[in-house]
Amino acid sequence: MDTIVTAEHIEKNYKGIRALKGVSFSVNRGEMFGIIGPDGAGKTTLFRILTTLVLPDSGHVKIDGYDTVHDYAAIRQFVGYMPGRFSLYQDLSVEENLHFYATLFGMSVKDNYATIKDIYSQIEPFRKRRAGALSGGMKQKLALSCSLIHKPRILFLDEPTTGVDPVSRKEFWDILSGLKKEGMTIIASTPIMDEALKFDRVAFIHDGEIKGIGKPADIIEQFKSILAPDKIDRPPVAVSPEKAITVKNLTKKFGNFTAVNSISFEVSKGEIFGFLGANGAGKTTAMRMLCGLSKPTSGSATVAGYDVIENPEMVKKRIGYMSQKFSLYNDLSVADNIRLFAGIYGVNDRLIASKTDEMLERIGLSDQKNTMVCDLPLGWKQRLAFSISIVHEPEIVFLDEPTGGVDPATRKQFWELIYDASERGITIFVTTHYMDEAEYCDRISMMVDGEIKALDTVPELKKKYNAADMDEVFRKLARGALRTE
Amino acid sequence: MKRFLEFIRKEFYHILRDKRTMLILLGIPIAQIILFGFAISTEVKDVRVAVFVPEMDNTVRRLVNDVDASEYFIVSSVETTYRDLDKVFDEGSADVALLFPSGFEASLLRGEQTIQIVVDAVEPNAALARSNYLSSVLSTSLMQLSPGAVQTGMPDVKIRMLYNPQMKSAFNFVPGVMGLILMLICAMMTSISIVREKETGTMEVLLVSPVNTFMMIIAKAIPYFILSVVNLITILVLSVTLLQVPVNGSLFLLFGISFLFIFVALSLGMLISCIATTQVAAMLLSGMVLMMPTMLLSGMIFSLDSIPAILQYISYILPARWYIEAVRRIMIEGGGFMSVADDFAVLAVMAVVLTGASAMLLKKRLE
Repeated sequence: MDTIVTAEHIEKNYKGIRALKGVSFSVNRGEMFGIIGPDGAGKTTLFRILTTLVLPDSGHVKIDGYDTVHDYAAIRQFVGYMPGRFSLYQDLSVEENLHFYATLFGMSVKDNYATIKDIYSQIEPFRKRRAGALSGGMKQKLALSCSLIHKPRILFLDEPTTGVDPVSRKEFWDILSGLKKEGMTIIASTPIMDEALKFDRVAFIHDGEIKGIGKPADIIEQFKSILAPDKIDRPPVAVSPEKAITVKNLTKKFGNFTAVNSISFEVSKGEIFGFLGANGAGKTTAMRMLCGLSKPTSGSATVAGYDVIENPEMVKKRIGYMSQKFSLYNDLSVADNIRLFAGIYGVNDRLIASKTDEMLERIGLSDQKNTMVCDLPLGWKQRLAFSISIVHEPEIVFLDEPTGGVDPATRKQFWELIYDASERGITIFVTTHYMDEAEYCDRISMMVDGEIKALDTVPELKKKYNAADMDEVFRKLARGALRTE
Repeated sequence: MKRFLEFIRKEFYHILRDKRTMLILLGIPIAQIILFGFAISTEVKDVRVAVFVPEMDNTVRRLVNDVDASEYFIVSSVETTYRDLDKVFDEGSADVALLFPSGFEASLLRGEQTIQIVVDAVEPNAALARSNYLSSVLSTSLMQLSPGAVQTGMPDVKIRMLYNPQMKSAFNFVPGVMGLILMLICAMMTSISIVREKETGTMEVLLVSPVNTFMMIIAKAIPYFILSVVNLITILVLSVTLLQVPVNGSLFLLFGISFLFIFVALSLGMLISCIATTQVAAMLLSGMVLMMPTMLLSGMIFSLDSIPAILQYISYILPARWYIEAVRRIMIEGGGFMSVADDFAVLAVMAVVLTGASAMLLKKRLE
């Protein structure tokens, strides 16, 4: 068979850490090849070596016959690359971005319009809009259009679907299979196992080593403990009659735009409440109102016994908040971060010391007390951030996409912490894009276009929408969405 | 070529859409000129003089009137005792005190005159200028009063201030501001705009494309080159119209040396962008390593002749020093090419070295 990529014994060290240890594999022309593995396994380093961005310490990579070290200029002519972060110019409009990337490869948008037509036509109505103002799903489509505009022979995608909702994710993979049919070779990574199943072959990489290459289903089965961990057993909990959150006709308007349209629901004490919706459905706005950060236009909400309009300051004292974007100070040590946030919430000094040890014990970070947060793997950071968000023993904790970009095993560890907190009576209010995570929730609400379209337990929702899993429920509900943010 | 133009166009979008930064970039020269031209000034003007005279007589009255009538001084108070001398300075009601002895007129006729000038010397340069001005006003006035009486035994010294007869500080500051602004925009902004691409991750994609890295950087520099020329023109127009600073030499030569200096500053910016990985680092590098020495050691604020030798040697490696010197020669002294040939030569060498260094350091990969 015709191989297009061969990697032989790649070694790479970073600051004394062996990021890649003797990685070898080959990819056939026209193949869709996946690179899967936990966060920090060396996937991004591997992508950078394949795309000539980083030199390997030893070993060779050949891309369509060209060596990545010596013939990098030739390789750069025919590969497309989409790094983990959206590589768009936020202050340029959609069409300006596309136009710029086309000229970069000495082409015009017209030359290869056919290649990107299917994808680009979905965002074309917004071509005058600045890239920075697009939703996650649209940014991702634009970034893909930009990396395809020169009709590359090979496409490299480093976790292209992180932070993107299930509907947009599905569309994205449909586009990729279309490209594969046209003969394009695609090498991509993903932390989501449903997506991994779409590859022809996957390489499982762990601690800088390739542990196995083969059919996705086989590899996932082989490394089940990491890639597809068993569900956490959780005894059914009695629903408390006490209400932690009561929301009535809550509405938020920005000018003519109604971001949140008269939503009403109740959350019981100790419940794990999943707050789902596509990018731009109004989740963040609703959550901000409940945290007392944004004043509702109309309606009412009581959180932890206080009215969010009358007493936002009291609400803030009784809740915890963790977001994917802001959580910890990277340049402070683990202990310093705990100390700082506990101090902010008024926990007294003696208590901080004992709580720090207890917390680190619980999340298995006792040895890392003086490690800088920036040196921790993402999954550890997330567990630490969650523990810190409940250090002052709040009644409710709000989690905004807390586990973005980590593998299923790491997510499972995170959810064990959530269950632990819930058992101690803390109410959990969580948003997520991962449907395996949604299944961990006691009840789910689905927001579409600013309204709550469905609210029930996971089994009930599946029954009601005649769906095999939550992914399908989500797609059926969100398909009717008009709003694209 | 099309690729190159497209790059420049993209850079312009970045600049034009960041309204706040653009306003600052275009506003800085105007603000600086106004600040240095009017607010910060070592010129002697409207200095308040407190006169202490125990016995007022005609001569003293004439002298005080002459002081008050000069454009440099205002007589703020006339006291008959020396008691309040300290109070005047404590309260800050005067900048200079003028003390006459009792019986001044009589002593003058005897050929002895003593007048004491007391100056607040917290700002030494200003103090020196004020006392010199005041004594010169007094001696002129005394001369007219009784030419025969003034026999100091000193030859009659006449001072002519060349190139800047009115001793305007703008003549010194305008070249300095030109050096500072051009350095700021070219070096700092170019380096920041390149490093920003590293930070946002777009650099990764640019590198994995056939685009030539050197071309990319040149394309980044061009918009800032144009912006600098706009600023250069703004400064010149403002200084000529508002501050009445002349352009005595050839305008052609002035622009010639300015373009060369801009080029040097741009290559410095490129060099910084090769070293720095974050925008903050680029800003600190260009701010601390470039701006501070440029302000302090290029002769803009302190005269280069009066600083310690070691600092003088350091000043030789500052492009702004040579530029500011050349601008002074051309604008103020009206010198021709030969008078600034050495400055041209030094800047040209710097340009070659810096461009060469940044081309060598330029990375075609990450890390």
